[in-house]
Amino acid sequence: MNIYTPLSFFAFLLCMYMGIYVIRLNSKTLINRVFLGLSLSMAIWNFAYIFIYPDLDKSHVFFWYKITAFGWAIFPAFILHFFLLLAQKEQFRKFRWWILVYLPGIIFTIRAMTGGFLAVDFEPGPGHALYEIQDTKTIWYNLYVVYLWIYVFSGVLLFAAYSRKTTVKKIKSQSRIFLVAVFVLFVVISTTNLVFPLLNIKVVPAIGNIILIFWMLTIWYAIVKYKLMAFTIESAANELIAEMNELLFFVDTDGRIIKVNNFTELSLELNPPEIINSNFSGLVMEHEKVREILGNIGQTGHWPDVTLTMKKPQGKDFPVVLSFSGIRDKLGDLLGTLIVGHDITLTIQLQQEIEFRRKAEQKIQQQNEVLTMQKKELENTLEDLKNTQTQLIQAEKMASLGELTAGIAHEIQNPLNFVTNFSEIGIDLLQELNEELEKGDVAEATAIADDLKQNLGKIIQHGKRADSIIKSMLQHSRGASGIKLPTDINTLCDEFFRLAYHGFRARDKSFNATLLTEFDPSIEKINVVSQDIGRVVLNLINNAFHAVNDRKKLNEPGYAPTVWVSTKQLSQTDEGQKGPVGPVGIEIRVKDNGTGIPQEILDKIFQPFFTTKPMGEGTGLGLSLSYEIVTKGHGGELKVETEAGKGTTFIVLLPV
Amino acid sequence: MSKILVVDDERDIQTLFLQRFRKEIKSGDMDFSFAFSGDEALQFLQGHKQEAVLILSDINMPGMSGLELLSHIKCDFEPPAPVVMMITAYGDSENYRRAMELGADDFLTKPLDFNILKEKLKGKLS
Repeated sequence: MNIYTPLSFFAFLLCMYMGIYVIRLNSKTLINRVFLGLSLSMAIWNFAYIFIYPDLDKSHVFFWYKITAFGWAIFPAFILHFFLLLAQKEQFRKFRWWILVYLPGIIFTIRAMTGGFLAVDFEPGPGHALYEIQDTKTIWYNLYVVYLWIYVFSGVLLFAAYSRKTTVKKIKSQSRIFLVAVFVLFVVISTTNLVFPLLNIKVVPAIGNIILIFWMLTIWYAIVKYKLMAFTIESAANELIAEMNELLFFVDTDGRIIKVNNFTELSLELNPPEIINSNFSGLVMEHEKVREILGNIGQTGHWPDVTLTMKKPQGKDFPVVLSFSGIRDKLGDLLGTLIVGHDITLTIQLQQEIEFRRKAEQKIQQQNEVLTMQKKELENTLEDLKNTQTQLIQAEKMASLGELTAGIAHEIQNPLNFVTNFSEIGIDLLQELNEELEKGDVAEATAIADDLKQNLGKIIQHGKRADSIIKSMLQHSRGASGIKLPTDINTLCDEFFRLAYHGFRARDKSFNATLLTEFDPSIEKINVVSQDIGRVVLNLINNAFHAVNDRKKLNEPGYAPTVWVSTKQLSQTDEGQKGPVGPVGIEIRVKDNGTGIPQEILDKIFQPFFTTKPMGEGTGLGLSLSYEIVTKGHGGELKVETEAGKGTTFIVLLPV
Repeated sequence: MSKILVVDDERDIQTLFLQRFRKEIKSGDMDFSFAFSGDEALQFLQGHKQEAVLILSDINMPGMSGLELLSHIKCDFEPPAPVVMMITAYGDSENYRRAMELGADDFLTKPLDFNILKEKLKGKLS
């Protein structure tokens, strides 16, 4: 029993397995096919040797030996080709070169089949195996050796040169392993298969085929560790695009989906088994278009930015933009199509949003224009209102002035009368004086002279009185000068009280009321705009007159209409005085026993245009103006105390 | 001696009358009393019944107006009622009519022409 037979059998299985493994990784790439060829030739070699090692029947042996030629004669070609491909030598794509590479091998195989070649005889040796006797002197033998060494070493050297140039670490590591492995193994193989038979050393038979297994294992190691020959489109894809957040499909030349990335699985809500191997065109609405693109991708190479509608098996369709690119292997053969793209739902939404916003902005623009116009209109209206207000206030002032006219006339009339009368008397008195002087009655004359003097004094007094009334009326008509001057409030109140009375009487001749005054003689002059405060006092007194007049008309028995005007100096010690009056100020009270103010209108009385008088009587601005004059103009307070049916008191507090 | 009551809220009226009727007062023909409101006048009349034969009253007075006083005098007093002459600044027809209605004996307007007044007084008193 020899061990080489089972080893050979094991080697045969191994070669078959590796060949099939690699071709299954990718059956389309050339390098894989070359490796398959290598594996098969190695497999055949080992298979045949199964029967050579143990067999003593020479006819069998020779038969099987012929078959082994398919291994040792051709494998160098495969090896050279393999290394050429590894070194990415583009030239060897063309079919022509294959012939050059494989031709010698084919010739040697034919020679081996037809005539004796290499091993011409066999004899048993150690280990119960058959040993070869080789025709080492023939030309064929020598040619073969040369061929073998040239091919193998060319391949190796080419690859060594390539790997030195490359910066890719993987290839460097890979090539280092290969080179060492090839060198070592080749030395061993040469030793067992050529040197030993040459020198007739019988230690081991020709087990080159078995030794080459180790070389196959090296390659296998490289495949596993460095994904050699598994650098298929799929592995490249895996490494590069695993986590891309774009839709990605690898589609083969038949339009079937080979691979998708995770993002695509998620987006389509499908599991890989449901996607892989299905037709890509089935996932979109536009089948024809997609089929056209995929069909033509070999020629066009690239088809960018196609807008399509992708279907979600369980869900809504969504719009996408996809780019199609043909993927080629190293030799230029179309492997498939890479489809990359993204969901443009958001883009479309954004576009719609932009459009919407643009329209909204337009609308806002329009609304702004409208608002601007309205604002202008309002501004105009406001201007008009302000003007009207000014006019109304002026009218009110004129009205109050008008109210005074009758009163003024009366007030001036009286002093003037006295001036006239006392002057006339003066003339008479002088007459009498002369008469008495003529008579010689000095005592009488003196008495008359005294009277004269008194009269003249009266004339001056009344003249001045008229003068001051006119002055204050002029001030009143001029309107607010705004300047605060020291004013005697008592005089002011007295004057306006009388003016108001006469003015009221001029309008309503049946009017009569008792006027009572209580002026605090201790009050000091305070700084006020006298015509404004006068207007206030006038307004309050007029209102009081109206109130008592209205109550008079109710004909209550024993009712005596009365209006009081009083003043009081306020000092720090006064309790209950709060507010802007501060420590010192003057209080003016206008009290009447008229109709009083009902509770429900009490908070309205200071509002502009509010009036209880019949239409046409009064502007309704009196109290609101008074309120403004007192509070804003002088920093004071205007308060009211009232009891409906009994009377009202208005209190003006003026700070110093 | 004619007793005349002058009713007017203006105090200087008193001075005026006293000056104007100096002679008459001095000679004792006339005697003037003065009231400064309607109420005062009535009080005076109550106190000095039948003494005043002539009353000169202003219409335009605070408190009781002259016309009110007039009606009081003419209505409340026993006959013969004293003569009442109204003196007023308001010389309009309305006041005149009212005064006459209430029984005024005469109606004078201010400013007083004292000559005319003297004439009238003489006429009424004699």
